Amino acid sequence: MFLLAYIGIAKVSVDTLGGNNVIVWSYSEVKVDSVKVFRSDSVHPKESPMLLGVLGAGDTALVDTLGGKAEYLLRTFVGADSSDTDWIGVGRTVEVSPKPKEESPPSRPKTEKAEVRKGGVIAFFDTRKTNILVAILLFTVIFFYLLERARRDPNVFIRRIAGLDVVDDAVGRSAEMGKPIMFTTGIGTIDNLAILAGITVLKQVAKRAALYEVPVLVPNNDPLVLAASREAVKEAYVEMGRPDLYKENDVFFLTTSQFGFASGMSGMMNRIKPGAVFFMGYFYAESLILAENAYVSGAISVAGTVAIDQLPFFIAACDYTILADELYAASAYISRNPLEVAGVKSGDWFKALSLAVILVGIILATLSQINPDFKWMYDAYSSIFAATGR
Amino acid sequence: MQKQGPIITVMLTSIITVLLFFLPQAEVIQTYLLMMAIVISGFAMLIGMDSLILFHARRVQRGEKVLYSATLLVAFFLTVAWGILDWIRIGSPFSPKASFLWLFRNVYLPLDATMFSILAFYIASAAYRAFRARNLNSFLLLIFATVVMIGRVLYAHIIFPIALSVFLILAAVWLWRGSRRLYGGEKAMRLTLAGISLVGAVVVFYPQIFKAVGGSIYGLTDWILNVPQNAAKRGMFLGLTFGGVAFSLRIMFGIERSWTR
Repeated sequence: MFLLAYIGIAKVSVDTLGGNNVIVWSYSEVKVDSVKVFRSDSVHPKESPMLLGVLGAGDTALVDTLGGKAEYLLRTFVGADSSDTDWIGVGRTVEVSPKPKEESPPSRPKTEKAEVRKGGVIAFFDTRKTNILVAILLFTVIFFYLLERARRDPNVFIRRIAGLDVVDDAVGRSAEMGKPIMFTTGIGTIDNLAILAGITVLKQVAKRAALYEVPVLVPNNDPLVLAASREAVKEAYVEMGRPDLYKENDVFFLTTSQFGFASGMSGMMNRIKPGAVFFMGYFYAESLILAENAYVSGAISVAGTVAIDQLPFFIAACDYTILADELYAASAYISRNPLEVAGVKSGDWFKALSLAVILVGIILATLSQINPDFKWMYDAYSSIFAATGR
Repeated sequence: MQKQGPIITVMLTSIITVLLFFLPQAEVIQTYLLMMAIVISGFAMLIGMDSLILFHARRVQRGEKVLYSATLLVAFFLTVAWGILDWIRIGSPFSPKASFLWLFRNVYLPLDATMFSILAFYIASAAYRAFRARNLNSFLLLIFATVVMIGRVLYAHIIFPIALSVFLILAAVWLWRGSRRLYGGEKAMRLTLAGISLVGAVVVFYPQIFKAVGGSIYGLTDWILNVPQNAAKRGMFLGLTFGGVAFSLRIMFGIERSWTR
């Protein structure tokens, strides 16, 4: 144990737990506004460390899933002032003395603001995010290239997704049974991509429902999602030439409470006994409650979410499950609009590209382990992709 | 313009937000945009309230499921009135002295906790359906899930060898009676394999082996979670990220318009 010149933090310890490095700290009497945790390792030198996260004043721990041999630095913010701890290695516990801020250690990493003050191009653009900018530009180029190709040749191939092939069957079944369809985008606000993807699927489902004259009930958890869902359903009915079938009250607000929503929707499923239930969007712990009640009500249940932790529950309890990023492709898959399908394909192209990048990384990492002469090559390669500017 | 207006707004705001990510000095604009989003979502709550009240008021008017709708309306207005009363009386309905908090602690929280606790029963029923060894995949899921579940409980180092022994006994019974299709029903083969399995079930209880097997459960659980499970999860995250970016670009450039008219 040794002392550090610092204000705001009383004690810091770094331990290994299940392959992860866990940084735990406690606060002194000085009230801290926020804490930044930096990591330094062979890829990220102390001069340009990796920012692991910005935490609130109440947070006292951070799990670094990268694990491995690394050192950590904590920077606290009190009003306009900030100060740093020393670099702390894994397996160390450090007690901090409440010395004045002027005695802060010299090993302070470069920060956004420090770089900004230098003037010139750096002041305007955060150069540490160059790799992210290049990746985004590359992605956009691929996106527009495929879009242009789809305009010339609309026969764009997309692989089969079983969970989306059953949409017609599920709507048809509801029509035969004379039962409505229930559709939910789950819990969250309109800024959640999964919910936006859910709304795009809702429009496609509503189009088919309009064709078969099946009512679509859409309980919502968020008022903005409600407004967007209403627009999507209304537009679907108009596009199918059946605006007379649209009922505004079928797309309604339930509650913002997570379990209140689960309770309300479960109750409705058990009372109405819908022919099909669609769970397309973002879900938390209520996923299993909803899926099990859909099963009990005897409906065909089709689920799709990007919440990876909830996917096993849907797989266990639903008839069909759309896995993770398939949800983003769902609307394009159902509508078969060549331009939308081309957009989906750009993601696949970039995925293939990143797999190639990972493969080269694996080869270089293996070579650097076998022969240390290759280490510089691996370090240089991994530094290109290091996310230093988060 | 009714169609193009929202698309142009989305395109401009999203491009500006992406650019702001690379410009450290423009943090103020980003904060301002976020504040605008918060204000808009605050007003959107009125749409939600309007939908909720009208939906249930119409149902009461039509005499359709009156009990449910009337309960909701009474609870809604009672809560709002109680909150306003405390606001006038104390200054805030969420002050420690406010009686409004009584409503929150004694009505809302128990209801929420009840729904959450029901989850335990749903997990049991979903697990029963998921953990049936119908094919090789579900058999592997059953085995791995059992190992991880044992590895996460108290006294796992004692439970695991016993569970392994029970598994080997069941495997011996299956190898003897139920596995005829696997190797043509040859009696000698069935007997040998079932015998090996039975011997294994007994050998597990040899003190040193029992200790070694019991001690391995923690490492095995960590390995399952950190290697095969994590590999699949990271693959999914990768797909999600690129799928998300592609979807964002589709929305940003107006290719995907389902969310608007």
